[in-house]
Amino acid sequence: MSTAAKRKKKMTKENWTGLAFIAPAVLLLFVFLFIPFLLTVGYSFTNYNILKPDKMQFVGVANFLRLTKDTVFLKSIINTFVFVILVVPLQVCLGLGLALLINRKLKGISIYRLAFFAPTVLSLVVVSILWTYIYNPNNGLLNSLLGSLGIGPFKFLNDPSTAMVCIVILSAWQGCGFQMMIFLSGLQDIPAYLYEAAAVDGARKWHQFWHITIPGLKNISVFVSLNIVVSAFQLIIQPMMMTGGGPQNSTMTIVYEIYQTGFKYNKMGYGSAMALIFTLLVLILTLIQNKITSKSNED
Amino acid sequence: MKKRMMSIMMTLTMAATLTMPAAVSAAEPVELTMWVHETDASEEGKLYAALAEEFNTQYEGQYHVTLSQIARSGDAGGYDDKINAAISNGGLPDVFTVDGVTVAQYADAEAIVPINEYFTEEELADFNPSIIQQGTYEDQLYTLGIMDSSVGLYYNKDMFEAAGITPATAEDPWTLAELQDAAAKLTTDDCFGINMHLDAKDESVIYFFLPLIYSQGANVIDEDGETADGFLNGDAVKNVFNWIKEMADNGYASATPAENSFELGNAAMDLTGSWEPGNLAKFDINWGLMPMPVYDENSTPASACGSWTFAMSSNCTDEKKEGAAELLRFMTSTDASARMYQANAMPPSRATAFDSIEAFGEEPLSVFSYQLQNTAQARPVSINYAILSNQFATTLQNILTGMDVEEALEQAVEQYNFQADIY
Amino acid sequence: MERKMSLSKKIITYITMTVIALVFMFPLIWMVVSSFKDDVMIFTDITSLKAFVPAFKSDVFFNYKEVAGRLPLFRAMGNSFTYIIAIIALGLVINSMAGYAFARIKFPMKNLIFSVILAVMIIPAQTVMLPQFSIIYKLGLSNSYLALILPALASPMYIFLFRQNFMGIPESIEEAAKLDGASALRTFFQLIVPLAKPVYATVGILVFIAYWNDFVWPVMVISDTSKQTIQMALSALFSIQPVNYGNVMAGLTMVTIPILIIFLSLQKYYVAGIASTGAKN
Repeated sequence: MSTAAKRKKKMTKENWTGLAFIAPAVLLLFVFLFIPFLLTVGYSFTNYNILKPDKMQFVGVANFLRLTKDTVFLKSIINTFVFVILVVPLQVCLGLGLALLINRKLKGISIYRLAFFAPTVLSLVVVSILWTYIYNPNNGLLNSLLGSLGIGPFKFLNDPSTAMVCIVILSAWQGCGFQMMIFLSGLQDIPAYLYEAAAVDGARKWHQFWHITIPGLKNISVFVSLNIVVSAFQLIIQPMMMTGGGPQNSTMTIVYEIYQTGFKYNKMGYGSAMALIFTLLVLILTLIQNKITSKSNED
Repeated sequence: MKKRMMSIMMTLTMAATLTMPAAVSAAEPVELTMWVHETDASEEGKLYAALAEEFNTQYEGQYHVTLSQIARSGDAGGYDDKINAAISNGGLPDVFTVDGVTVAQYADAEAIVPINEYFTEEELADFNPSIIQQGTYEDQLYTLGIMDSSVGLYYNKDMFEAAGITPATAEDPWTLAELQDAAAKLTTDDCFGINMHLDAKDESVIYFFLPLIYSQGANVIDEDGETADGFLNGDAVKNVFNWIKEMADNGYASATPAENSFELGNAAMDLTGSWEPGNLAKFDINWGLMPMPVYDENSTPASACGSWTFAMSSNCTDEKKEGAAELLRFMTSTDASARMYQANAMPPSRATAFDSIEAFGEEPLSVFSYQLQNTAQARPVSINYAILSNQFATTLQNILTGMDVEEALEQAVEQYNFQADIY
Repeated sequence: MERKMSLSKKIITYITMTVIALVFMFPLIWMVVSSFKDDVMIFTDITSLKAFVPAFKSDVFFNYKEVAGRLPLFRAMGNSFTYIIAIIALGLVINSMAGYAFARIKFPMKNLIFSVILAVMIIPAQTVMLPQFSIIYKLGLSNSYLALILPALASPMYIFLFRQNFMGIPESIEEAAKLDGASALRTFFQLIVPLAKPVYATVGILVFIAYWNDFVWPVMVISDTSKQTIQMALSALFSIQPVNYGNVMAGLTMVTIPILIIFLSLQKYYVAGIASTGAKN
C-alpha cells in the first residue's frame, strides 16, 4: 500500500476499475445516507420542531449545552454501554459456538440450522412481546421453571437491578443466529486441506481449532465484532416493547431517547444533537476497537 | 318588439344564472383529499370508505373526496410519521384524522385550522361536551369526532353475588375506599380483587387514572402546560398513587397482571376501556359494569374519554374550505356516529346517536352513555401532552418497583419541566 | 472431518443439538401452536408449558380463514416479494462489487472512502428517516416501489462483510486469471462470485428478513393500498382493540412461512466452500 501512495498521481487502468466498482454504492450511500446525516448535523444547531419546519432557527450550541444537564440522557449513555459490554461477548460466543456445532455433515443438519436461526426470523416486536410473558414475575414461564428447581422467584423486568440483564439475555438469544450465519459462511472459506493436513499430522481437535479455525475466521471476526457492537449500540425495540425504558430509567437507551425526543415529542433539533453525540461516541469507540483488533491481528 | 326582446333576454339570463353554476360544478366538482388512520381491513376502515362514497353520491357535482387509508401500528406509529413527513414537505390532505390528544400540537403548529365558523351552536350542542373540550385549543374549535371512548369498572357478577357485594350504579360511583373494601373481600389465593393493568407503560396509564385526580378538583399541569410543579406533585396526585401502591402492596391488584386475567376468572374486577365488551364476548363470563370510581365522598364524579377526530388542514385552500367543512359534518353525523358503534363498538360522539342505539339505554352500556354525557373530562389539551403522559406512566412503574411516591413525583415534575422547556 | 463418527457420539450430538434447537425454536413453536387456538385457550395456557402443546378446534384452520378473509395477505406478500427481490438482486451486485474493490483493487482515496462508509454504518436509522423522506419526496418517488428499493440498495454493513470475505480468498486464484489478461469484471464474476456463494446466500437471507419485517418506512412512502407491503397489511391485526391474538398468530405464521422457504432453499450454497474448487497456495 505504501508503494501505491508513493507512486505518481497518474491514474492507472486499475484505479479506474476500482472507482467504477464502488461508484454505484458510493453514489447511493451519498444520496440516501450521507446527505440525510449532514442534514441531521445541521438540525442539531437549530430549534427544529417536526411540526413547525417553517419556524426553524439557528440556536448555536444551546442543544449541546442542555444535553450536559440532561440526567436521563446521561443515564441512557451509561445503560447503553452496560448493554454493549454485556451482550457483545455473549453473542459472539453463542454465534461462534452454534456455527461450529452446525458446521458438520449430518442428516437433517439444515433443520437444526433453521432451528438455531429461528429467533432471527421473527420480528423483534413479536419476540419482545412473548418474552414479556415469559418474564412475568407472577405467572411467567421462567419463574415456574426456576421454581420447580427451587430457585427464585425473580422480578426480572420489574426490578431496576435485573431488567437490563433480562434484555441482554433475550437480545443475545435473538441475535446470535445472525452471527452464526456469518461465521458459518466464514467457516466454509477455510480450505479443507488445512484440516486434512492437520489430521495427517495427528493434531488434536482443540489444536485444530486454535491454529486453523480461529486464524481462518480472522477477517470475518473483525466484521462480526464491529457489527455486533454497532447494532448493540442501536438497542431500542426491546426496551420500547418490554419496559418503556424503566423501571427507574434502568433500561433507557440512547437511541430510544433520540426516538422519543425527535418523533414522540417532535423536538428534532434536540434529538439530532443527541444523535450527533451518539454517532461520535460510537465512532471513537470503533476506531479504538479497530486499533486493538488490528494490533492483535499483527501478532 | 323591444319588450319581447327584453323578456327573451331576461329569460335567457335568468336561465343562464340558474343553470350556469350547476353546469360548471357538474363538470368540475371541488376535489377534496382525506386521510384516515385505518385501512379497509377493519370494520372501522370499511365504514370510512363507505361514508366517503356516500358523501360523493350526496354531493355529486359539487364536492368529491378521494380517501387514503393508511396503516398504523398499535400506537399509531407509521400514520403519525406520515403526517409529520407531510407537514415538512407540504403534502397534507385537506381533511385528516388526528388522535384527540394530539389536537393541541397540530393546532399550535398551524397544521390544522379552526372550524367554529362552519358549525352552529345547536349543531355543536349535540356533541358530548368532552368531544368539544378535546377539540378546543386556545378557545378555538379544531376537531370533531365520530366516536368516543370511556373507562368503567367491569365486575364478575357471580363473584360479587358469592361475596355479597352490591355494585354501584351509574349515577352513584364507588369511592376508592369502597372499591378497596370490595377488592379485599374478593381477593383469594388464585384471584386478585381487581385488574388495574398496572403493568401498562404507555398512554393508557394517564387515560385510566387521570379521572381520579380530576374528581378531586385538581389537575396535573398548569393551564398553558408550561409547568407541572404544584400540580403533578400536588396532594391529589399523591393520594391516587398512594392508593394504587397500597392496592398492589396488599395484593388486591397485581403489579404485573396476566393478560386477560379478569376474563379468565383470575381477577374479580377490571378497570378498563369501552372496547372491552368485544373481548368479553369471547370468554365464558357473567359480567356487569360500574362507573369509574371517585376519590372520596367529597369528590365530583369524573371519567375518561377521547378518541380519533376529524380536522381540516392548513393546506386546504379557501375555495375548498366549505367543502371540507361539509365533509367534516358528514363524517361526524348522527348516522355516521351510530354506525361506528355497529362497526367497532366505540360509544358515539353525540347525544342523538346515543338515543338511536338501544344498547346505551340499558345496562350495562348505559354507564358509558351516562359518563360521556355527564362526567367525562378530556385529558389536558396541551402541546406537552406526550411528555406528560410518558412521565405519568414512568411514575407508576417507578413507585411499583420500590421508589417512594413523593420522590417519584418530584422526579416526574423535574423531568416534565426539563423536557417541556426544550425548543 | 470426514472420519466416521461412532454411533454413541452421533446420538449424543443429536440430543445436544435437539435440546439447543428447542431453546431457540420455542417462540416459533408457540406462534404456530397458538395459531390453532382461540384467545381463551391461548391465555389459559400461557402460564404453563401447555402453551407449546397443540390443541385443535373442530374447524382446525379457523384463525387462518378469518385472517385470509380480513386481509389481502397474498397480494401484499406479492408486493413485498417484488420489491425485495429487486433489492436483493441489485444490492448483491452493488455491495459485492464495492466490497471486492475495497478488498483487492487499488484506487485513490481508498482508505478514506472506506472509513467514511464505516462511519455511516453507525448512524441510527431513526435519525435519518425524516431527511430521507424529504429526498424521496423531492425526487418525485413517493408512492412508487423505487422509494422502497433505492435507499435499501447500498449497505455499508454488507459492503464491509463482502470485503472481509473476499480478503479471505487466496490471491493466487486471481493471479492466474490476471496473467491470462482477463478483465477485472470478468475475474470478479467468473472466479470470485462462484467462490463466495455462501456469503451471497447469507446476505440474501438477511436482506430478505430485514425488509420483509420493515414497517415504518413503507408506511411513510407508500399511500396506495394496492401497493401495500406485507407488514402494512398485517398491522390491521394489531391496530384495533380488542386484539384477537389467535388471528395475530395465524397472520404471523403465514408471513413467516416464505422466510423459512427462502432459508431452506438457499441451504445448498453452504455445502460448497473453497475446498471443492481445488485451490492450492
